[in-house]
Amino acid sequence: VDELEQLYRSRFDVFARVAATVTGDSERALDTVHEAFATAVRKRRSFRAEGPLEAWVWRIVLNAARSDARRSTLALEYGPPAVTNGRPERDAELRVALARLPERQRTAVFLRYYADLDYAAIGQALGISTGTVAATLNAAHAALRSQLEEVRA
Amino acid sequence: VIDLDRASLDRVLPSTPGSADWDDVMSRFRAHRSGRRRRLVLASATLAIAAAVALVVSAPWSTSPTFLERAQAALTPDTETVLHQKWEVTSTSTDPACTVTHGPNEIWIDQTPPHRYRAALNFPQEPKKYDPCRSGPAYELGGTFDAGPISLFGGTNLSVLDPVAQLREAISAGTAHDEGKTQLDGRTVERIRIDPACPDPNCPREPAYAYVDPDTFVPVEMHGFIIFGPPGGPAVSVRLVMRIVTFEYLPRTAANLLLTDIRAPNVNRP
Repeated sequence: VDELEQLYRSRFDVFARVAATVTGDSERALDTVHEAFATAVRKRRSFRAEGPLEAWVWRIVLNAARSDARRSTLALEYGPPAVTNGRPERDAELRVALARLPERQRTAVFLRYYADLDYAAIGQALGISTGTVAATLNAAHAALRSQLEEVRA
Repeated sequence: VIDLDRASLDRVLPSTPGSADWDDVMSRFRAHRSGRRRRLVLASATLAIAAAVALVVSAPWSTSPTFLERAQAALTPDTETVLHQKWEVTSTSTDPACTVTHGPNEIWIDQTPPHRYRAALNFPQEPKKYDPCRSGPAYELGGTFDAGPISLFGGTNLSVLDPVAQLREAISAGTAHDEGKTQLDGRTVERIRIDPACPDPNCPREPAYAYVDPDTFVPVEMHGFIIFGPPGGPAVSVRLVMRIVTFEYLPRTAANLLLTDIRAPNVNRP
């Protein structure tokens, strides 16, 4: 439990912000992260230490976020507008391009470049092989490049 | 072309509306633990009730596949068309108590892949959470359906923008059930119940309803809910009524295709 608490305190913001990209709502993401950590505490004895604890918790958080995203019978999702700081146009373009990625590609991008997880940990978090992680990130790069080139042309 | 580093992603990610609270995590953990035994007792009773209900309600739906099969066939659009739809959404909330109509909303969708669309919307866009008591301002969305739903940050899930697609998916998935003819604002319509396709036991069980013209199968209204709240925790439900004002398939001409392009001047808006 101490390790989970330490992970929660040190990485809370990263978990909450990435979860918001799945739920589409920051406040629901906050609840999702708290609920997921409560689940992790409850199931802590099932953690086999075959990978890092953080990857195991990411999987619980992402599953909870996906369940939350499916809860609306008629789904309308709202969220904050683009945060603009320094390069508003480029940030807005990137935000829209990321939003258009399939959910798995988008989550892989945030886990790699925002949460700083390695390929093995991303694979454990998403329940896919390391090779599939590489392919997913390659596909995400290609899609983002294509969309941004089209916008800026 | 791409700045995929922590700083750029930090700028585009939504901020966190709260701070770390480990006590809250542990109180949820304790609540789960104390509720577990009670749930085990309730589970067997729930199963028995569900079986009894299934026996009672299965008979009236025995003719539903025929109607739904015909509906699905009729609602599969010709790829050489552009869907034009105009609608308004009325949201009814009990806490806070209010009823607000959001609209008009309008969309054009190319029925040929990748299904380019342009939408002019009046749904509320609150920065941190959905506020059912506010409407507008107007804004536009554009892109392609095949690029995936825009549900991140300021986006709107596109499934609600194309009720026919939503209905087709529900029929294919077996979650749609014909409930027969009924009256809606003095008009005879066919009511189709769409059960929530959510495997999570904590999901709410409220179905959505599609009201369609019994002869043409064109949607007249869609009724459903938006649910807020943590999984397993108290959920707030806001009732939505989507009233379709215009629903038509236009020929896929160059002029009509232009209506699906977010980059083109919108001829219907100054």
